[in-house]
Amino acid sequence: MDPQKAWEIENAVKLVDPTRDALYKYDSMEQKKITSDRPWRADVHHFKHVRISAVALIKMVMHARSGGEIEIMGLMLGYVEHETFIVTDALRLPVEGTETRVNAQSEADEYMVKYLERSRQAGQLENAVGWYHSHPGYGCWLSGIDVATQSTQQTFSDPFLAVVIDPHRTISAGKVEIGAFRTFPEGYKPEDFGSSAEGMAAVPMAKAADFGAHANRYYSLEVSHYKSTLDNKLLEALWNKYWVQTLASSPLFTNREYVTKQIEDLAAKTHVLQGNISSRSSLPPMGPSSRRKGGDEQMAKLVKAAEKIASEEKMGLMAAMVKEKVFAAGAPQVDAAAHAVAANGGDTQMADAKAA
Amino acid sequence: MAAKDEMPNPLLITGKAPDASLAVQLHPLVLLTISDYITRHTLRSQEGPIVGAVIGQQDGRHFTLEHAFQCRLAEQRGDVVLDSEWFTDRLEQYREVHKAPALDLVALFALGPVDGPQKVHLPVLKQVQHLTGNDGILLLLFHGELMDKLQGGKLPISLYESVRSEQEGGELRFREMSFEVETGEAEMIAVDTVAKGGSTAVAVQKADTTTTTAAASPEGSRTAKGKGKGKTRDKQEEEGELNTLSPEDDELIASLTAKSNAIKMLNDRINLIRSYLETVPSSQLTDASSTTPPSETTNHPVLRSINALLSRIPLLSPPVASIPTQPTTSDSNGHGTVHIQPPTSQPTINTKEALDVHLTSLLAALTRSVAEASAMGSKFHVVSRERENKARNDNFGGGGGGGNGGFPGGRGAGMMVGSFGDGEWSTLDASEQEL
Repeated sequence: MDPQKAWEIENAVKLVDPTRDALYKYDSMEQKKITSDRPWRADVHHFKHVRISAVALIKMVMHARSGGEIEIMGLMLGYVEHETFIVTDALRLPVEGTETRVNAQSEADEYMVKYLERSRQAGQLENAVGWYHSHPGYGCWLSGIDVATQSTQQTFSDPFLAVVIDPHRTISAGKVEIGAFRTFPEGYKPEDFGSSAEGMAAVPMAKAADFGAHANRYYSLEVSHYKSTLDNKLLEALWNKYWVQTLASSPLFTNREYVTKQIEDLAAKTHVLQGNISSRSSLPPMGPSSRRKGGDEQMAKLVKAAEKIASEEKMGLMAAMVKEKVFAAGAPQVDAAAHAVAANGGDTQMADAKAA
Repeated sequence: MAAKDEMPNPLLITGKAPDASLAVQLHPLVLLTISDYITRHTLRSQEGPIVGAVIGQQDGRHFTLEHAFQCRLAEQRGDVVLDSEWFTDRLEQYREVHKAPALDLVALFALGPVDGPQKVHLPVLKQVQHLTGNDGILLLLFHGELMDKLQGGKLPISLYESVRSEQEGGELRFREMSFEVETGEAEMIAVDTVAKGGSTAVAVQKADTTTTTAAASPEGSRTAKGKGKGKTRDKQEEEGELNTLSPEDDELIASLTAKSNAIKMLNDRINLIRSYLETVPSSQLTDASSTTPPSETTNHPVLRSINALLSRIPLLSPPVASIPTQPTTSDSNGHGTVHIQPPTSQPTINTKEALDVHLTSLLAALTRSVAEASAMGSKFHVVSRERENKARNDNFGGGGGGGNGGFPGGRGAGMMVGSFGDGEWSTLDASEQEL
């Protein structure tokens, strides 16, 4: 067999659909042009979307999960296109975060530079377009330190993007909890205050002050992901391999600790709200609803958080119920059939298979 | 996977491996990295073969293949090999960030034909085995030609271990190995997320999620915007009508769909076993009174593993309703691997769990009702104040008291949230911990 054929280059070409997989292309000339034009300078809201490749997403989620309670950090490779960041790959950085914050160190910088150099030599020409880190258990938003880090990056190596992943909530909700953010320049006042705060009903008590203090310093981008036609086929084949886990997992059991924590947090918040309201009601009724409004908002957040917990729990229960109906409902018959097998040796195999 | 014996490959040793304890677990990320590399390589019209490294854990004869990366290649006396300095450096970089658990090079990947490794694969594998001093480096071949005819969950890859045969002057030969796909919890969710957002549906799905999030954005932000932003509120409500499902509902539907797909798959597998058994010609095996010897084509290992599977079922399913453990064949050919889940099967726990979940739902509903009652109270307060002011303007401080009456009601509702909600949540909390 001749060497070219053995390496199967032609076959590789057949696996790719140039139009549908267009995001995998990279035009370094165009990127240079964009980088020199800097269209994001004119509009602080220039970037609105992020598209993350299948590989990058999986790498980031796995990395976040591997950290456990510790925050981890890494970089994203990719490029920009119009108002969209295209993330093609992700790499881990050797940074040890504490439980609540993570900050790049010079050691990590050195690693990063070397890594990118090696990547380029191997044909991955993309630049770093952002950094990602994890918030284990407290949702996707930027803390004060994160805002400072991101702000520096946007000043010196724009276009740059911050991505936050919450591995704990990813596991408990069964879907990837991810947020992408860019900070506003120093001194910029967003019109719609709290736009980045949407969906942030469940920031834990301990973090709420930090969250509130910086919530108007950044905005979030819409995150979506993409995959190639080849990925698609592979994933189809893979699904056949891992469907077992869909049935076997029992979220109620695995998430118990997390749910308990969530409930604890909610109870504490409820308590605080109760305190606020009772202290206020002891005052004579005065002024229109200005003070009232804060309480309503808090209450709405509590409702939201409570409903979230309830719906996650409900999902877990349904998983357990489905399993019970499928596997345990017929248990007596299976039992009987199995005893028949034991009694008669292999003769009843066919009948038994039917019963099962 | 059985060796393809219709096209003998001189480099391939057919037949069973002498040591069956070898276990290889392949993670989907490796597959997707290879696929990513192929797509990128092709679309950017890069030259040369596609070769990369796979890192994972190795413990004796147990391998896991967890991450992969592409490699820079060089040419050496006409052979394709790795750029060894580049490779050593790169591998070190990967080692540095995969310390717990520590991952190291376990395999190389390349494209290759279905009938196994070719001569061109030898130099690079030898080089790596030499560089790492590890003779156990595996070779993973990706078969592009199989891509269009994938069936029954077969992946288009094969894994080979290299064997140095003693008689033939130390030549490297290969033996095909079986592997199973393994996913971590987080990995599975990520892969699932990627798999669901089908590439043809990307645009539609994107629009869909934006409307749902907008519609269900927390009440807090809506109330915060207040009256001045009536327009945005109207818009949001319009969207809400268009798409009445909350994100929670969407999630629930998605998880149920996944479940039903999985059950369908299980059903398919069981049917496969059934139909296989039905086609077995009648003989001693199907009827004890018969004296016909089983036909020569009978596949005894398959029958035996089916039998083994069936006899395990009663062990796994307890007699009373409970969260069951779950047996299933992972391979239609009857290599019966049985996945067992640790038994959590006490009916009492199950009922308790269910009660807990119901309690949570009730409390959530209660919280919402109380919040709404409180909002109602404050709205009433506003209205009554207006009325009071009007009345005062009309007849200078007339019936102010009536208007004020509504207000403490609102307050009361607010307090109820606090005290009631708090108490109940703590109770639940305690019961959760008890479990």
